[in-house]
Amino acid sequence: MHQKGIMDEKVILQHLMEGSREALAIVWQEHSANVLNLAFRMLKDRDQAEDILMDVFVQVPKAVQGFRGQSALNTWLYRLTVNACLMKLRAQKRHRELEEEKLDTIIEEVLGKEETRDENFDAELLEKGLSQLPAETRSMLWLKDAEDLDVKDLAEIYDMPEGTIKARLSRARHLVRDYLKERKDHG
Amino acid sequence: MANKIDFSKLERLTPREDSWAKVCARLDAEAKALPVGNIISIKTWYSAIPIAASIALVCLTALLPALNRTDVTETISINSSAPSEVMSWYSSLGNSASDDFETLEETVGFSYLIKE
Repeated sequence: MHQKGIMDEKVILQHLMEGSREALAIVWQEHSANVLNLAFRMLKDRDQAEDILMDVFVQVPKAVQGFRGQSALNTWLYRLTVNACLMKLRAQKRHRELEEEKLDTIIEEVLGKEETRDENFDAELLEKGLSQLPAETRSMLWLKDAEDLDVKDLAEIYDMPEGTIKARLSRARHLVRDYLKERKDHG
Repeated sequence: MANKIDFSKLERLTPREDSWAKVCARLDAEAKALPVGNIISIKTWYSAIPIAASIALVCLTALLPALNRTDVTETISINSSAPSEVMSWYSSLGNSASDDFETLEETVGFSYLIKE
């Protein structure tokens, strides 16, 4: 099944490179929701996420000419999406979330505390917890824990060593859990 | 993986119904807006340059022997056109022990130039 998937993807890629609209439609059916949700996790805005989704798919026919097929198609699409979102965030100067240094300080305070697994949080609280993270780290956590991508794929998407990805994910989880725990204790 | 954050309770979005149509419309508009001059992509140029260079090289190889052919070139010997004064001055250049400039008589040189 997996082999078949790879074969199909190669055929689709070939057609995409030839400019086939049908191939693009197949990619849309398969991956548009994933791209949209990743963009939404990064931008926290439905309309902007839709814009990014369309931007990504409009640039696919051109961008695919430079794609060597060394990674999976979804990994490549996620990379396009992350880059597009980061560009948008920078352009709008809305990237005012916690910066890495501030995050590190918070993490240092958090680490050492007993990590408790709390599954009884609500979605709204989780959204708030996630919003404490920088957009890039938030998207990383989403791809890992919601989309089940492995660290190797994330390293490719974010162009970072696997060790850095693991460390960031670990810190992000700590931060989110701590936020949730704190809010629950106070609420 | 026990360490994972549980995202299952979060809303999962689906693209709006008209999004794909908008993507198609933008792609169509881009295709229409593409000027004729841009149809030849950079990649095409990359391959065109060595081909053009090869053609130029072949042309030069063919043309150079023709240019060097002496039988079709009209050669006018200086002996047949220059007066004897000019020839005498020319052949004695550098043979004199004097440090003075060896100049050609102005009138002789001038008349030679007018003749030419």
